Amino acid sequence: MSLLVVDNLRVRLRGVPVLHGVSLKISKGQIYGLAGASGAGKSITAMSIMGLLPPKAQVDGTIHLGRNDLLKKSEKQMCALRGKQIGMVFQEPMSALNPLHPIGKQVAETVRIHENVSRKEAKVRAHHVLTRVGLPPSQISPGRFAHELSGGQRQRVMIAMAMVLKPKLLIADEPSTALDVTAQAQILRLLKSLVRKDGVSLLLITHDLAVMAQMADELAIMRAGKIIESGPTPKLLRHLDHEYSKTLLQSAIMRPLRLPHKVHGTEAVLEAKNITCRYGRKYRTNGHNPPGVVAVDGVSFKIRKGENVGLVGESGCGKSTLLRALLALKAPESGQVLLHGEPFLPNSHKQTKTQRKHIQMVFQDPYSSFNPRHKIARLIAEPFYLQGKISAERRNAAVADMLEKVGLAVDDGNKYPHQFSGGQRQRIAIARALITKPSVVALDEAVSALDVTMRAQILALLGELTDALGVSFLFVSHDLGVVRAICDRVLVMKDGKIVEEGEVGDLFSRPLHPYTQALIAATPDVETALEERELERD
Amino acid sequence: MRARHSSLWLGGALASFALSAAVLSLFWAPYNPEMQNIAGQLQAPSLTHWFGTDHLGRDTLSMTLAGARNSITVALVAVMIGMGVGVPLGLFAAAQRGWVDSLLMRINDLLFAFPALILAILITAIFGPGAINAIIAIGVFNIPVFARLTRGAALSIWAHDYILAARLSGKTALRISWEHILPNLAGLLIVQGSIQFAMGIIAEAGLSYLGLGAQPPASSWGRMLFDAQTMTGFAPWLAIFPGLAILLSVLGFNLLGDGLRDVLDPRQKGHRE
Repeated sequence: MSLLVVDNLRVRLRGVPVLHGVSLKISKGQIYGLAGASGAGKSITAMSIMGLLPPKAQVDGTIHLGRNDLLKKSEKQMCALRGKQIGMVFQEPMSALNPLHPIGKQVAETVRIHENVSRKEAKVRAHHVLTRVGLPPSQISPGRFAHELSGGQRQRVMIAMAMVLKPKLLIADEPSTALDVTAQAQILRLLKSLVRKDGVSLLLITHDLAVMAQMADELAIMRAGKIIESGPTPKLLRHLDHEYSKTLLQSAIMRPLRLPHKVHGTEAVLEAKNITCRYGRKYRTNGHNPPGVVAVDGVSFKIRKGENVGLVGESGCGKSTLLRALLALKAPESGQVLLHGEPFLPNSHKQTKTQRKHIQMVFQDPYSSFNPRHKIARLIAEPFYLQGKISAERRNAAVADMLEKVGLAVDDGNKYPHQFSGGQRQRIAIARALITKPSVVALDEAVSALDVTMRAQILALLGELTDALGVSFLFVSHDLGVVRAICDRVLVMKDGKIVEEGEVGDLFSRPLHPYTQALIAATPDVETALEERELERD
Repeated sequence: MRARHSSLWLGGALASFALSAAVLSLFWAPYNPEMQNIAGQLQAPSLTHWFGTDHLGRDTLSMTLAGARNSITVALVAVMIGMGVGVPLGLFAAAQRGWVDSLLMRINDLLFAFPALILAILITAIFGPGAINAIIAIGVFNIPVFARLTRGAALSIWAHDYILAARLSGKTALRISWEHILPNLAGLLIVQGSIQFAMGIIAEAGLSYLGLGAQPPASSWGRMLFDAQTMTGFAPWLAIFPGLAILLSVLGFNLLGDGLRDVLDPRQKGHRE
């Protein structure tokens, strides 16, 4: 029997239709996956079910939860249903938790709002559910605050808050997208075991088909406000009908985009020699100097010409600090960075300016990478400052050339950053990084803010560019799939140290360090997930 | 649209009314504001003297117009001093961080600790009364306002990736402040400028009321209020018109500032474009 039936749901926001007749059925205890690129209408569907659409939205169709017709309920009635019958887990746990209340209290509050129980009983229930989500009060005190927890732990608290009232339906909107691979694997496993044990139905929303392949019983693929195909997950993924679904699946399967190629020579373009960086060390007059935190601990490696190197590790492992030292934005405490064999030191040194054109960077957040007041042509030309005086003609020609190389039109130079999507902005960022013809470009999580199709396009572009221009990319990421697609060699970083280093093929097929093995095992992969599930069934 | 920006429209109208009165007084006034006519003293408002005359027979309308010029000049120059010194200091503090930042901001705190008007009185008491010293005094207390505002906003812009990109392009802190930081602060500074402008008008009126601002025979609103206070019982127009002039122009520039903030601040637009 179906728990949730959505029939021909149509939604208009400010007069613009965003959902064109979405119908779906979720039976009791089922995990229903809703996949699609950003803007496909996944979240709007979830918000309609929760009754959280903006007040002026026009909604048609029916949504039944058991015998309740949700669209006919008043706001007050929906308030009672939300939490009690429908729980929700969001993508960003930090903004969904109140920073001023301890986590135990927040979970207990949820109970007391919906059920008439004593403070004491609410506390007992809260502790019980926190234990179930893997935060037993004996180890993680319920007196902690959200900022004292890791991203994965925060998401566990969110799940505890959603599950404590034993809802019939749980909606999880990109619950693991903001997390590291290992935390993601744990959260997904937790969600699955909880809903299976309690017989809760789960509506799982994510753009990542690899996650769906692991999790969903039934899968629907959305595009432009419609469900274009749906069916039992393993069967559907094996036999997709729509072209669009196939591209979505292709993007999720991270195939190596370029065959490992011969690296030009053995000359190191960038070399890190025994770099150590430390934070928070203070010199006090009383002689008690706190040692501070060692963020990077004696890291050495080389990048050769035309070689793509991946730097992999979880957040907090010291990747970003290392990157700042490599780019001479901050001096390391000890050790040396060599660029083309010469010491590369922070800005105050005269030589640094002439060296900077050899190394450039692409940032994670395509929205904060550009001065919103400048036009694209000016933004791309900014690194030309390093070349000294250059005629306007030569500069314009170089900008036009770069725009074409990254797949944009020459006219785009006259537009402003806000006129472009996230993926296009990342192309612009790549153009800016490449305009001085550098030998190394560092990409800091450059595709993790993009959705899968966009990500695949940008990776393909980078693959082409590295072969065409002979530039080396230093690809910093927590996502092994991305690194595998584009890199020749991989460095695995943990707690400020490089724990394993190797050619991409060797490292993925025969990882030596236990940490690398854990990372690889945690990375969602469509093929292995499907095989595992088919084995389970047999 | 107009209803949403009503304070901008009202403020703009009042402020431009005050500005045009000041400009008008440069070329034309019904009478010479300094001309005394004892025979025609203390006339009530009439068709010949719209705002009446004072105890020396001077035309109150002409004096109010000349006072507008005085107030607006003082406030304008004082805002320019505050911006001219405060903004570079704030940019410098944000770019340098560390002990330079701390030192500049502690000096700022020190200036802030004095009530603005007391500080201005102190300065004019030391250097003697007069319009120029009033300008300097009001200008000096504008400096910390702009320095602190600029530093705070600049720090948040320094955190953006495009600043990092500019650093990777080898640009110095000075150049980054000029090219990237300052243009992004422009809206904020215009808003604060118009609010400080209103404060300047009040401060100038306060100083000249105490006899520390523009000296007679030059007209100023504060001085007119001072002269009028013993005569309000039988010649209320002497206090009403300069008082209204101060009230409306201060209200105008404050509303203009608020209105501009609503229009210029992207966070208030509801969605990011």
